Amino acid sequence: MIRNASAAAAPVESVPFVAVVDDDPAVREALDSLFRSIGLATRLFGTPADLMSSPLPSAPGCIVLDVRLPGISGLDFQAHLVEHGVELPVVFMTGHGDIPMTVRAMKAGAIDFLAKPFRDQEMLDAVTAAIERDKRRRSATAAREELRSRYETLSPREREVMAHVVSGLMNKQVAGMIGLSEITVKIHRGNVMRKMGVRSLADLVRQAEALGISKP
Amino acid sequence: MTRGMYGVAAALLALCIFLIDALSPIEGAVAVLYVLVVLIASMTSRRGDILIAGVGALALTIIAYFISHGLDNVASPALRAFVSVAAITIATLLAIQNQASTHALAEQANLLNLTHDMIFVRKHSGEITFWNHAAEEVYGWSSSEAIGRKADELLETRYPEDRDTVETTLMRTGRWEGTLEQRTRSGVPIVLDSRWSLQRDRLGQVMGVLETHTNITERNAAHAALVRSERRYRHMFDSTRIGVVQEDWSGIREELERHAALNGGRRVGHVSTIPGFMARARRLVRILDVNPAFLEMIGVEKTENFTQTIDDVLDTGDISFAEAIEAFVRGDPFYEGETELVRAGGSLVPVLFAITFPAIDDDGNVLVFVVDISERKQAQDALNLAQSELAHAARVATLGELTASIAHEVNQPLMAVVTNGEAGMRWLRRNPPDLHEVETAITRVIAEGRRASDIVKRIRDFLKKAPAKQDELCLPALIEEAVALVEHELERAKVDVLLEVQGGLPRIRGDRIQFQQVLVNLMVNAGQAMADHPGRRAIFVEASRLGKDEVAIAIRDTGPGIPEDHLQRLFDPFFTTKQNGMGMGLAICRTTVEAHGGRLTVESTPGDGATFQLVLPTSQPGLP
Repeated sequence: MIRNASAAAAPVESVPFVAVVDDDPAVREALDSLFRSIGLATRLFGTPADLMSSPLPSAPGCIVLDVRLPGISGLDFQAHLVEHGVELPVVFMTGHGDIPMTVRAMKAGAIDFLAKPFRDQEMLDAVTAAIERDKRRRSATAAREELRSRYETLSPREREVMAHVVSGLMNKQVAGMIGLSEITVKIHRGNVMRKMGVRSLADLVRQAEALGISKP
Repeated sequence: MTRGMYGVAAALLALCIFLIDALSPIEGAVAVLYVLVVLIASMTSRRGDILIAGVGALALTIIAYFISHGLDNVASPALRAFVSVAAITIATLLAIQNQASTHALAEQANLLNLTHDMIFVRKHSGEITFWNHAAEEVYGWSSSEAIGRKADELLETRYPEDRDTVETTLMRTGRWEGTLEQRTRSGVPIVLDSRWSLQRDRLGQVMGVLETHTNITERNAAHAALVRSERRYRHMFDSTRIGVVQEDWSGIREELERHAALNGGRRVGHVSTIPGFMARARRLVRILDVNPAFLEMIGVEKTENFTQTIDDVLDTGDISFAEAIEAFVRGDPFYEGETELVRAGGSLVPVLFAITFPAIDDDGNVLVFVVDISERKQAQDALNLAQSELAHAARVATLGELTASIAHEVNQPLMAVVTNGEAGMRWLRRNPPDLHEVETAITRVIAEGRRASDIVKRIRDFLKKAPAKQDELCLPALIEEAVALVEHELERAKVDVLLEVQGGLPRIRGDRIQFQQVLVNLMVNAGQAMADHPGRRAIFVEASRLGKDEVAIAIRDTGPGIPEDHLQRLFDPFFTTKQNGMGMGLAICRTTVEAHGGRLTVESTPGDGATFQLVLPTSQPGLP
């Protein structure tokens, strides 16, 4: 596995990192120095296979990839990563970028496509943007997962009440539909609001949308 | 009449005389007739026969006397018998003396018959009196036919001067010598060396003339042929377009002999081992004669203006002369070489020459034939130039096919340089600056800058349009450089390159770029042949020694191989299987290899790869 999302993030590993894949050690070392100079952590790999077989930090990061690599082309490797559920953003480098390749790479979710030799600022901007995207993706993922775990603490009856409430029904109407007293529905609704950590009905409706809950 | 017949006649006559002498009553010296018996016996010219006849006659005379007269009558019959005995004895002695002198004469005549010269004796008036065997054989008349004929008429003699003058000389000095023309019996004219001597008797009267003739017809013909031949060769010498130089090498020979003597008679091995010899040797070879063609070649007007030794015509850079001397020392009959001669104006003219060395006991003159090869050289230079232009075009084309990987290869170090520089700046601007990181970055900038420049140099060298050189080349380095040029391309095509170079390979001689071109071409071809090949993709480059004086480089691939019908035409110019191929690559490869004295061959089993083999001579054949 490339990374373990559920592993507890150690303070060191919270430093964003860049994984560099290039068959030329001189290029790898130069990028290493550049990234470290702005305080990023680095991981260097000569081949895609090396990267696949090494554990990566759980911190936010990105991959910087030479588009022509020995053994497998960078684009194929990108597809390979996606297949294996690795969602790190990829920045491509090429000595001879061509349009079809760029289009393919961008469609596959590449952040940027840089022609060697590039300006340091271009590379750093691309990498920073990639790491930002990774951070956003990570926090979105984290929020969704928290919501999911909160939702899972609800009892079946509470989930039923929540579904009716977010669809806009009054307590009385809910009670009528599921055959409970209005006061019982009110208690369930209060539990739902507390467990889901929301104060208003509007917040609960947004959460239900995020969770994809529809009217039963 | 034979000896036997003389014997019988003498015996019969002796018997008749004895019967008459002993039995008839005739009073008289009948026995005197025995003298006839002795004369008959002398006809055999044998001393023994004469003696037998004489003694026999004496015995018969005495016997007849005793039969007729007994011992009592001693007066007149005894006197008659004594006269007979005296007559017989005298006749016998005279006959023996005559036989002896005849014998001596016959011996002398035999001597004259033994010689190969034609000898005859004639009277002063011309009639032949003696004619020897050689005369019989050469002129064709037998002795009996010739004797009595007039010599001048018989032989139709033609004199080189007036006949009377000849006669006058003969009479005055007793001798004459000269060359005559005569005719044999069959009418063939012959030329003769003639010597006459006059024979006189004691009174000074001319007895005869002894003529001795030597047939010089053949000698004359040979001489005439020699003269014609000399004239012909002189004509060739003067009018041929080939320059001819007659040189005297005796100085060289003496020098070598002197050196050998100093070394205890050992033959000279390499003349280069004799200190200062080569410098002296050029002045030791004297030029005796040169022909007009040679003068024209070196731009000299007349023979008088010409130089003395070959030092004046040989260029200082000449190495052929040393080799010629080595050949001379080895005892080779000739030496061929190429050199440059110095023209009158100081410019150089390229020539091809052949030296013929004389046998040791010859007059020591050496003939050198020289051909001006300026035009051939110019044509060759033009051809070489065209070939190198073509080879250059092919190199450009080959590298053109590698553009993508070359761009990548150059870009990598450049990108490393730029990035390291920028990173270094960032480390420097930090507060506080991280000087250790800065140093690391700058060190890498330098290393990568060098790497980029090496790559560019390698490519520039490969593309350089320079005349072919003749360098001593180290094979492993040559192969590594060629591999470096295509390594990246092959890596991208997912082709492995495996080198197997034998240790201690001898050097080869030639042009580095041209050899690289051959190797690059073969490797690029191999890589392209395997582009769509599903199996293993590898190129094996193997270099090894082949025999004593050659090295072999094999370039083997694991591709699909070459179809049979392509194999035949593979090295033909303009033969190509590539979409945009020029078809010159392999043709140029083969030409290049052959120009270096090597060969380039290919073997392939369809479906099982192809192997190109390059065989090249080592730079110093014969060395281990």
